[in-house]
Amino acid sequence: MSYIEFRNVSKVYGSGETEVRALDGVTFYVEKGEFCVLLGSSGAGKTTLLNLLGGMDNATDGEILFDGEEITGLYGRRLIDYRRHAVGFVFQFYNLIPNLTASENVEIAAQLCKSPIAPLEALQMVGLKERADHFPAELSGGEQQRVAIARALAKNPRLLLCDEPTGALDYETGKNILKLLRDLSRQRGTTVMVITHNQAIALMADRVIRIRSGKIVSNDVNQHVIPVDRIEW
Amino acid sequence: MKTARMILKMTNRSIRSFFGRYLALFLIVFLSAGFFAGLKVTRPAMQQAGEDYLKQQEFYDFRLLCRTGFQTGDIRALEKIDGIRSAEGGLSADSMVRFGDRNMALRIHSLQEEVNLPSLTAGRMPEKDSECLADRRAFNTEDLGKKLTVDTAASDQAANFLSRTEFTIVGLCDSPMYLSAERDSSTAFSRQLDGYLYVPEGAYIHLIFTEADLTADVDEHIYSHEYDERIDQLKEKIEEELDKRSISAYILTRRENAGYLSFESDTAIVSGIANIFPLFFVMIGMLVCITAMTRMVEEERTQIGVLKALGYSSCAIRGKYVLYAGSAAMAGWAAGFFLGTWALPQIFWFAYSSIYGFSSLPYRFDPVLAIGTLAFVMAAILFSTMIAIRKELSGKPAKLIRPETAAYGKRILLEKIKPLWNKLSFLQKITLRNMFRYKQRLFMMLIGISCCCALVVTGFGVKDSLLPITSLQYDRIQNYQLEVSADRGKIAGAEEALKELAGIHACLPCSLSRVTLKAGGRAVDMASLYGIADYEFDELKRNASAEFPEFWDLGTAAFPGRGEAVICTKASRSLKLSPGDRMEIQMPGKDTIHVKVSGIFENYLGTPVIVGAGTIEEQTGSWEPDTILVKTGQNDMAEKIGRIPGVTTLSWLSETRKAADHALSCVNYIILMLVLFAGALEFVVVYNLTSIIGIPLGSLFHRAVINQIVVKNMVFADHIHPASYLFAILITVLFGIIVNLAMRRYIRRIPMAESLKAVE
Repeated sequence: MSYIEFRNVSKVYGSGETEVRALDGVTFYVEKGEFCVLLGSSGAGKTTLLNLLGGMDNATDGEILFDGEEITGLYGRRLIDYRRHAVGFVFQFYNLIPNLTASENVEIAAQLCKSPIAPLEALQMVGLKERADHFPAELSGGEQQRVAIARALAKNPRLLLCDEPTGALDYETGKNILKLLRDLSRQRGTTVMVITHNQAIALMADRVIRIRSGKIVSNDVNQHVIPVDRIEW
Repeated sequence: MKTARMILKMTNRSIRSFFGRYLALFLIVFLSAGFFAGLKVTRPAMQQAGEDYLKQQEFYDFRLLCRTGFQTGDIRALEKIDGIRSAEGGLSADSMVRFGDRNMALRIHSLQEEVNLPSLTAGRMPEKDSECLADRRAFNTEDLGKKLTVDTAASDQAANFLSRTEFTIVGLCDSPMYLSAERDSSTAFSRQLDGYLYVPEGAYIHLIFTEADLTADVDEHIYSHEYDERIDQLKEKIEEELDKRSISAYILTRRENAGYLSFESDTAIVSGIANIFPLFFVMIGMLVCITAMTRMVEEERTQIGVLKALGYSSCAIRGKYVLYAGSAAMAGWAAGFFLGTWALPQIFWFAYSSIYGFSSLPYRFDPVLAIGTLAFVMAAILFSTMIAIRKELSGKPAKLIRPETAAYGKRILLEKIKPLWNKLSFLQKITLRNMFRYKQRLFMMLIGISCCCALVVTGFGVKDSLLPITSLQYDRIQNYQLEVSADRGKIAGAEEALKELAGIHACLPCSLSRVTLKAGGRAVDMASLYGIADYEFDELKRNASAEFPEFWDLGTAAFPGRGEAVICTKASRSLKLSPGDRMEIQMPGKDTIHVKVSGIFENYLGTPVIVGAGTIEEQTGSWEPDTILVKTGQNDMAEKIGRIPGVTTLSWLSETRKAADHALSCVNYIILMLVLFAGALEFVVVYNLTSIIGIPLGSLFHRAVINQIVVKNMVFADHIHPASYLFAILITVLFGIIVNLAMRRYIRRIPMAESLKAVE
């Protein structure tokens, strides 16, 4: 059994005439410790897939397993525990809490867990320790995203989910963020899933899953992983 | 718990970064709780002050008056009655007193040791028989040390009782017998007393007490039903004791004391206002809370999503908003309650000080009111917070994180009227569209401003219905100026003499008695029964009922026939009587008259009842006039009329009118406070909402709102001048403009670049 398994998962928004099938019978697997890239164009269903895996939304049909546990069957307290202990989330627009400092933003996540990484340590891992007392508005986009990553890391999650983490960043900053994620995955053995529509990024992944119109097109293991520094796009 | 600490920290930060909104919540609770609790506590606080004062000064519960006098043994026997705490004899004499070049009518009381203690406001207590305390309302501190001389030639009572005629004023005082600034009219002189003096007992010749003052062991609050019942029980025991000792005496209770009575009715004005408020509080308070919290939750939508995604439970997230709104409400309540219950009673006490001011007003803490208002405020605020966050909190985090699609901008009806729409400027078009786009906000704004304007209208309405009542009463209803009482059998002669005086336009003899009205188990005491000669009665030899309408405007009610009575609106309401119903009139003796109500007339002050003299004679066996109603254009004839043989007292309606006007003038303070309160409320409401709509609202919008309110409030307009509506509208618009000006500064402060940059 793989670490992550999707079995015939569907997600339907709305009903009747306005029904939208965001995911349509998705089946795939990801192994433990892999750096996995989820590739697809806008509206392909990437974010929906990630949300279902993160316990942020309910699947309409099918089952999702994580580390042998059926996510699709969780609700209430157990769903909260899953979000709390298993998953770290990095959003496209960082979504930091504006009236908390960088370290406090990390702390709100760290406080929830049994074996967290200390906020300052997490910030150090993303190279932002010296800006710990700054508010989000005082940080650049890349710095904010690094705080968001530190927030996700602080929970010491088994699974790190990143939704277009470089989408709102410039080329160089985006590259740095990706390198950071890749390195962290290597060092800590965390399974990472990154959403992107950028084909080039796929070159750095252990596994590349392509999705189109709510359906899985391919699920390949990348035999020739190229370091981020050497990828140009 | 760690999460609890984080929630606390986030709440704390939210308070600081959204301080304006926090302040709005604080203010609304502060204003409503403060105003409501303050108004509610004002009357009890004032009555408490009155009660404390009367207790401290040992004001009598019973005053027994006996012409032949009480022996020391009588007083001791009265004191021994079960339920009586103390009894003490007293003396008083109405005297004309020369003071400098002034001639004053003063009541001279003997200084008692256990009852009716004067409270010193200046100077000292008398130490010698030649010293006296003087009424602080008739004298001032400059009069201390000056002498006054009793004019024994003009004062029979003083000549009979006092052993000396010259007194030095050594102190000024208030007295529990004269709570208000009003002074009785003297029975010895046909005029109003100017004040009173307290002299040592030694200044009296004989110590045969014409008065006996009793205090009772009564713990019940003054003016309470329980107190009255207790007094009635004791009164019977006193009557028994007097019968046993064969003393004939009048028993007076506090109810016969003018100051004690008026204090009750004057303080009632405030509590009337307090009762119409709760509705406004609930509506505006919840309105502000719901809009403020809805907006906050909408703004923090993604944040809620993130917290949920991180693994915070709904309960913990709800805790943040509950804490935010709850702490604002708690702080607002605490500040409002204590400031309100302290300041409002003080303001009213100050307004009343020209009439009462016998002591300072102590702070009154009402635990029931405190807990009640706190519980209500918290319940209302938390309930509206729950409503505001319910929708967002139940959403899936995935949905919350996505930015919400903006409310649809729809075409509005006005756009179809092309000529008009095309004339509007860009900003006007946006304003109009936004008004309809955010219907909930429009609706909330309507309610908010309606309530504020309604409050102002209410304020003016209260003023319009209360202030003119003396004018209605004495210019339209009672069309005479003076009531002259005379001894029995002297009425015809007095009337002849009156008619010969220049300046007297018309006279009407009648009987006037204090009676109790009873019907259907209800009773109204202290009513005034006017008996009018309705046939050629022996003494008068004329039928006066034909002249009566010139003296008293009964409106549509006809003069009552035999066995009938016409009653005033107040009596009809209190006893629930309508024409055709039967009622009992309990006369001062033991007689009771049974009558049918034949009509009801408009009346604002007092409780008059009018019957024909024949009805009284038929049912009690006799009727005698004792009062003459006089129409006169002059009011300086007291002395001339007083010299007419048989005339005992004159009561000028203008004096009663002055006293009533004085008491009603405090209504102006209430209006002022209502208007200020409405203004503050509107500020909070509009401030809170304008920041949502984000575009300054034009006067156009206000006018639309106010048109609606005016129509809505027409129903409760009983006596509201059109001008009052106008004022209310102007005031509301003015407040609105002030808020908009304040908001303009706020909008200017928004940095253009930053507000465009924000992606969240």
